Amino acid sequence: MHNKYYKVIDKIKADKDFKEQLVLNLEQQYERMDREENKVKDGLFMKVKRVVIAIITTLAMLITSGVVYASLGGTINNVPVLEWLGIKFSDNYAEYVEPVENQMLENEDVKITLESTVGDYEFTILQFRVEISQEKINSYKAEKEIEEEECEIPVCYLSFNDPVKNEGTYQYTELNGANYNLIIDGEKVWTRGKSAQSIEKISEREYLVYQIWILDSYSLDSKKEFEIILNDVAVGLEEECIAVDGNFKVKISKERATENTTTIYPKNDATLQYKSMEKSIEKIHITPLQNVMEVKTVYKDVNQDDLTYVLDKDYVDKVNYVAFDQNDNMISSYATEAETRITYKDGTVEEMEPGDFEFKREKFEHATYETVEIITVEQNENINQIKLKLYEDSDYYETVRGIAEYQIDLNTNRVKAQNRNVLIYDAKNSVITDEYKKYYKKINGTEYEEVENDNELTDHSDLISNVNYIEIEVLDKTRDVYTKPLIIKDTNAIEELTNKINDSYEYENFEEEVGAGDFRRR
Amino acid sequence: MGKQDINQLVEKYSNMIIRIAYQNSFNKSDSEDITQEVFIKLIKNIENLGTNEEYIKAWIIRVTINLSKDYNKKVWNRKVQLTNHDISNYDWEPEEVGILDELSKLKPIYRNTIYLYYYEGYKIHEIAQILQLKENTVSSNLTRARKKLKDILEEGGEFYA
Repeated sequence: MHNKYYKVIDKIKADKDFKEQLVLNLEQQYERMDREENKVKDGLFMKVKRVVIAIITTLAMLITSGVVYASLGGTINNVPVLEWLGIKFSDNYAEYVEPVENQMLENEDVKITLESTVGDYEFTILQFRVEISQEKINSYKAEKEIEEEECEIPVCYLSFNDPVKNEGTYQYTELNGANYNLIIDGEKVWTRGKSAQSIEKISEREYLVYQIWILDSYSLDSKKEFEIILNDVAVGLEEECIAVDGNFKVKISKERATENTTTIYPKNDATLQYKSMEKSIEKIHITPLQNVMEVKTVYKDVNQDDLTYVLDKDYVDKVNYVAFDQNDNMISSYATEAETRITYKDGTVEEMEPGDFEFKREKFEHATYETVEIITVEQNENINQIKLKLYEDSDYYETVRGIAEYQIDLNTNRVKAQNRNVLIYDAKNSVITDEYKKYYKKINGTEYEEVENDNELTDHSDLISNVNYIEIEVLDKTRDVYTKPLIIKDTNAIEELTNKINDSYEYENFEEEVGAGDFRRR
Repeated sequence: MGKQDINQLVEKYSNMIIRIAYQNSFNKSDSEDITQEVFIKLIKNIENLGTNEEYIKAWIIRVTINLSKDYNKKVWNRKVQLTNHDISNYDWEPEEVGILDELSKLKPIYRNTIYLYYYEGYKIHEIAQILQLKENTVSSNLTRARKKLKDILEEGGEFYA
């Protein structure tokens, strides 16, 4: 007899195609392991081990992943909306829009026009207009058997530098519109974690697509002017990927934005310490569109367990940032890693992909692990102080702890770091603070909802007090047999037996009969 | 290790891995990525794992859960606006979408616990070993999860055992 849960889970299976491709990939991986693994940049600009992981083997990727990277966000006052990502541009946005001419690609199905660019200190934004032909709309509706006049055409994404592939009747791209592949001044640049799209629907045939890249000074080698090339242009449309011949080539200038950017170099009191982690705000760039912080994190004298083993005392779990203004109102913020490296005891330096936790060496000690993060915070004239709060979020312990706070005064340019140690959430002990609710909203994008009557019992003394009698079968582990059913009415005996069961008998049977809130009463 | 060995491993474990990964990501493509990573780790470590199948299975479960957590932790996997396109992968019926929705509201530790208990049929002490938790914690988690998922875990008013 199976319940609904079982039936749902049973439906989840690895596809035949996926398994076949997986076996092929694993064979290759095994061969590579034999030859000693080397990192190679291939045509997709990815390191070999990531190539294996990123290979898309099923058709359904086309439908799903596109929406992870793009969102029907639209614009407000002609400023692209990316609040779902934590990015909000200032009202100066329109002043930095540079129109583009003569950049259009088309075929019988789609027309894509590059209309303008914005070059901010950190952000590069390209605005495209995508128009779908009426014939294409009609054939789409006919295929989907849609009868309404207007229907939702799912423009999932614009894809660049990622050739369209065919799988039977489906087309797909490897990265499904993530657009991590960029060509800047002829050089291939990998922008994982620094790419997003926002889409505004004008009509069922017309869309504005904003492609955003975070191109910091680390990605650009401090260039202020550069050329972007976008080859293999395609429009993602549910199971279809419509490739368009040609490419886009456009010059971006950050010169004006850079001239209007103020950079603050905080002093030593902008450093904080938590376990083996030392964090400091190295620079704050107040650009026309954003407040941007470069944060350096160093873990000194660490071994592999300090960085990866959750039970290690020095392990620092996931650290998230939440930004507030001077009135403790939450404001938009977004964090991404720009650089990641580890320096081993013998001096060997391993540059890693930002956000990566896979080290070449399985075991090491006395190493130094460093990251540089770029944190962008909303900017508007009403914000004169930023409180950037840091939280350690542990899935294992089910806790969220406030560990530090930066206070940045935008009037005086003073930065202060303050260590904290405040438990704002503890699932096991039912600690849920107002601060956690704000944190929850930032991380999950929705309001925190309290569960009513959530009075789970954490020990059996609570159970005992509500029980008139219990009927149990107990598995004696030493003999591997179940005892005859026992009816216990005496409260003391129940308590004694409960303790005995916890210590030496198969626990679950006791719980099956009693259960939290499920008692037999006479 | 030959193609046949790899084939056998994939046939034996891919469904289980993808189920755990899917319940931690609710995204078919992410769960396939995670599955691939798990198998890579498996073939790297297979010689050290011995021949005890139960041990190997427990190891795989633990690695899958850990990799799913790592996957969610990485910067580029920030959870942004998901649409129900993610749920369309397995041709879910409306009622099943509702069940998935309820599951997604649970903490990962609860989801993993009920999966191991109700689907894989592990006992509490076994789950405790696999997840490296105390038995009482596993019991409490199971109790909490049952309360929240009472309707979908019950069959005819009795808990499925």
